[in-house]
Amino acid sequence: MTAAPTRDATPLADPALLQQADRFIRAARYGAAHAVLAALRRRSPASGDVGQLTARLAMAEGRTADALAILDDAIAAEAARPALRLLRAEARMQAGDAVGAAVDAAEAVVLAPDDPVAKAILGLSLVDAGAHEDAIACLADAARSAPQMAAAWRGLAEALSRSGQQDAARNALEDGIAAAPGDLGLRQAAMMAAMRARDFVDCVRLGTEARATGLVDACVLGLLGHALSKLGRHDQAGDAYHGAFRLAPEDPYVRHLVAAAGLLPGEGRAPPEYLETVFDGYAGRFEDHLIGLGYRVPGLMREMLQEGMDAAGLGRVLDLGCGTGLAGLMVADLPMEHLAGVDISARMLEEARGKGIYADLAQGDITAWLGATQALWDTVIAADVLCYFGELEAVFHAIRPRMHRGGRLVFSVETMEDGATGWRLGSQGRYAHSPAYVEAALRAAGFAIERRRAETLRHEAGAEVQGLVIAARKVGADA
Amino acid sequence: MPDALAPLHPADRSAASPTDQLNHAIDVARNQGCAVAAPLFADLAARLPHWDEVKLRIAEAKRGEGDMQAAAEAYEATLLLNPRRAEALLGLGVITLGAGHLLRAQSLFLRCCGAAPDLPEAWDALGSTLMLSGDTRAADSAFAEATRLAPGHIGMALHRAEAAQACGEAAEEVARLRVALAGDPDNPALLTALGMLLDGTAREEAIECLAVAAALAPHEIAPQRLLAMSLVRANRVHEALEALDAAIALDPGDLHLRNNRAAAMIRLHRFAEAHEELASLIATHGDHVGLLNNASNCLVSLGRQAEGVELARRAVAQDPTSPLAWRTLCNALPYQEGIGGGELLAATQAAAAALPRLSAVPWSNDPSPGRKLRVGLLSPTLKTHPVGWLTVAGFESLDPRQFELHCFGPEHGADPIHRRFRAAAASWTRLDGMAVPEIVAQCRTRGLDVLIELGGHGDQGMLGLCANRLAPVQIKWVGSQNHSTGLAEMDWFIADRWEIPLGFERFYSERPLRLADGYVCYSPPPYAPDVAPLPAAATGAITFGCFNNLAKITPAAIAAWADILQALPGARLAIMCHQMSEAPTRARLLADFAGHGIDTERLELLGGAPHVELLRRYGRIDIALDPFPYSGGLTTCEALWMGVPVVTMPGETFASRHSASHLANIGLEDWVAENVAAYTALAVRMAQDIPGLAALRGDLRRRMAASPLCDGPRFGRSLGTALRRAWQDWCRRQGA
Repeated sequence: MTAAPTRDATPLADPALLQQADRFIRAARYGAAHAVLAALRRRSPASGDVGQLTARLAMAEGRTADALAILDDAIAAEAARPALRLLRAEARMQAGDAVGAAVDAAEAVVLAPDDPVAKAILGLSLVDAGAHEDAIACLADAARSAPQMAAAWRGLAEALSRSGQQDAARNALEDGIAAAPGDLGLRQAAMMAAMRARDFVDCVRLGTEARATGLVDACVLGLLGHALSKLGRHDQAGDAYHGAFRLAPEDPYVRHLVAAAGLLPGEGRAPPEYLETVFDGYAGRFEDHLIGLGYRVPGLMREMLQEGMDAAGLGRVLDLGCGTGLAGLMVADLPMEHLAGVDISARMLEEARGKGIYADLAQGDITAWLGATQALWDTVIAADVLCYFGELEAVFHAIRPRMHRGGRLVFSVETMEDGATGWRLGSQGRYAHSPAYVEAALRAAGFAIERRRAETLRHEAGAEVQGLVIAARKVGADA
Repeated sequence: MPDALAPLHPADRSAASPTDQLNHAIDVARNQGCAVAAPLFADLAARLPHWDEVKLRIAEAKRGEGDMQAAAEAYEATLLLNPRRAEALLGLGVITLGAGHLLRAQSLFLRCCGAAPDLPEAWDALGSTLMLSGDTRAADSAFAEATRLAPGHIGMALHRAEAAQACGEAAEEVARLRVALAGDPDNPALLTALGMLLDGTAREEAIECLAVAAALAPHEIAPQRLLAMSLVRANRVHEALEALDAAIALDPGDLHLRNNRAAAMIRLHRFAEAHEELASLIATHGDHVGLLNNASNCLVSLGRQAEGVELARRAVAQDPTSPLAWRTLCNALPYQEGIGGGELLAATQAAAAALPRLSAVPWSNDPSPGRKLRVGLLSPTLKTHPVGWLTVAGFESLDPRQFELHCFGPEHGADPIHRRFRAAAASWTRLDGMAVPEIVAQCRTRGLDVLIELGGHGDQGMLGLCANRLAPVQIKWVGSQNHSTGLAEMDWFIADRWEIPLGFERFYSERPLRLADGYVCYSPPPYAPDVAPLPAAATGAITFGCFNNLAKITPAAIAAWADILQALPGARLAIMCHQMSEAPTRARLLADFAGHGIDTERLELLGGAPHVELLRRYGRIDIALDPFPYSGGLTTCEALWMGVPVVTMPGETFASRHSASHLANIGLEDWVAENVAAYTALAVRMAQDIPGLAALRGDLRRRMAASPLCDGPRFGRSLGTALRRAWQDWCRRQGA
């Protein structure tokens, strides 16, 4: 039986423990780093090394205010240590103090004039501080002296882009890729810049080069898929999305696009996350886009509503998946008591609100929203909405109890031209239905069909998209 | 009584005090032995017969020399003089316990606690005997007293934690340790005990506690040892090896630590080094199943298959009831040259018979043939691993309206293929730290209809659990799927018509569940570089390649490759695998080829590389040569994806037929040879048609992508049909 070991009480920071704390921080093992640093502080409270590590840990954990307080003390005690200055520059950047960060970084450059990292951090802090010209000079210098430092190239491109020099920014990213070919961030930034410039061909080139060198992640492949899709190369886009899915399998947006390409089993509907992402991203240019496609659905909905309208008008109207309010706009002048809209995309709803025609707008997935509301409606419209659902039973069953007896449901669907049965997910991420399936699902949910009309809904890639507009009435008693 | 007094010169003895004389005797005993010191002690005892200190010192001196009998007598004599002498009670207790007299020892320690209630060692010793007599609650109290008195003592803190665990109060002890740590945060004893207790339930946190304890108490073996073993269990191999090195530096004689270090080296592909260590351990400590297991694995991995099999047989001879020994043999045999299907089946059946089994439970699953099925996947490697690459696309493509997946096994964080399994699974159960009955219960509460086993006899494989039937229908698929499991409880074996042709069923204890196309679906990495042009088109000379594990490269394969190189004087051969990073292994392989008259300048030996780099290396290969009898599975798929066709020679065992299946599925049946002569002739003939090779290479990826081998949706339907068939078979039997 041995005696209890005594614990050391060394006045100087134990180098082995310092090293251990440093390793824990690098490995993101913050709990262990805390414990070791606490022991170090108790043993040697005045050590600058311990202060520096404590600040780094605070920054790694996102406790910027704590890091700043620790660094203020450490710099007051030891002003000539450039590492502390750079650390505080970084902390100040995180805290939004761009000018303070630039001051610290400049001080570090004075203390270590040959350190390109210091220069790059100075440049990055100048970007944040809005001093684009100085930032460009500084980052260009850093990138020249340490060309393999990808962050300098990315910062340089960012500074150029913010000062309005988009082409120069893209050139800087090209130079960066040549100098640091293994950096994924540069490739992503270059592809993003090409997409922003709507230069899909170049985006495809960048993505293809990245893939050929084996340097890809879900972001690169996702962007590549989008660019290919914009160029109408849907098969290749499907492969790229499939690659993105394999690297980010939990992303419902990518998964839906892969299912749309027929490479994974389709779900019965498009996931809400997919719709939200697509329509949020689309909101600003949605209407121009649809008008460009010869979009006819809102007008067809209006005709259908007018044809079967009761003398009393439409009553309380609910616009499911109202989007920017295109359908609402087309029917708003018909006699009605109240017009409400629901959509999953907050950005789309902003556009709809701007039209000033809805008494009420709510954000949510329509099936979930219908299940949660208590309100009742006389007329429910769903223009170009059910094309994001394969199985229609659940939606129809969710709509029916929210309608007054004898209420009308008017909606559009895209149809399959080849006489197939049921529904199918197409390469654009939308579903097409067979007329027989739609009618059977309607009847099963307790609706009687009043009118149905086969129409060309719009043009897409030079072809007509065929569909149905259907008016149905709620029949039978409520359960 | 002062303990340390300056020794005196013998000449001064008459003038010295009794204390000085006693110190002198102790000094003599320590430096020259008890026999020399005996007259000095006797003299003192005679002069001061009532002084207990003399007897005690005699006892300690005898104990120091290992003469327990004499020591015990001296302790007894001490206690006759002073029945409350704590050191004597403790010392005699330890000797008594060592002689196996538990109750007598316990009563001595109890007396010691009464005589010296402030002595932590007394309470610790009492606790240890109470643990041995099964009174864990009383032991816990005794250890509690010991740790109260010595709060920084790591060993005592661990004893207390073990006692708490033994009386089912681990959670309470964890809570107590957390409170204690709040007030004393850098106490390594508290951290070590907490880490030990958390290992089963919260391993990540356990590792953090132990790492901090080891950092704070760098000279203590306990935290370092526990840290190393937790890291081993967490499969954090690099860190585990570092921790094992540190622990072994503190306790170089620990066989368990050294065997684990060798195992960690194996995981890190340092086979030659590991083998050296294991051979020396076996030479010193003899045949232990654990050592033989690792050593056999090492030898097979070094391409010394026959020696590996021999060690595995020694392990079985050492303990024929040991599942590990049998597993060792099952892991070595499939690689051995000339192994037949029947011989391998006999071995796996013997291994399966040695597995422990719990009593069987009747099933209450609803036997409706068409209903949605709950399918369990049991595997340690649902991640970036052959199991992942070859099955994940199939599982993703199963119709979610018909099948619901439930995974059982460790989680692998951000690994991309692991995340694909996660995204496809309805639930995930970690089996970590659970005992077998608990695991079986866990799996059964999930109400599985079908269980697919994907680990086999391999590293961390959980095939043994299937001996307890985790579902009414059990199916073997990828994951050391080198041949029949031999397990009576395994109902089906996923295969195809190339892997198990008609007539080969006799080599299997399971029924073959043949899929419509291939038995796996390859999911190519999205980062695979483009296919490079045929290198021979530029150089005019063929470069053959084999990027398979050296374990698969048998002497017969080397001989065949040497024949091919002899027939094509301009041709070269590149061999790439982790083992080629080690100089002795490279030298050995070069010597093997030189023995066949091959100029070693014609060989290029390459060590392991990151995956994308490995794929890129195929840009320098014209034709891949498959090893035998264990063919390439994933490796063949990768070669083909990179545009490189593979020459193969299937045999009787499942493992020997992978490449043949993959080649058939992409329409390259003409690359399959029947015997060794045909194999060499085929390689030579193909090598002579450079335009043909160039044309094949240029189209191979497109062709493969469009083939059943990579067609996820098609494979998903085929897998679904097979699972349904297996289920319906069970349903029919319920009705019968």
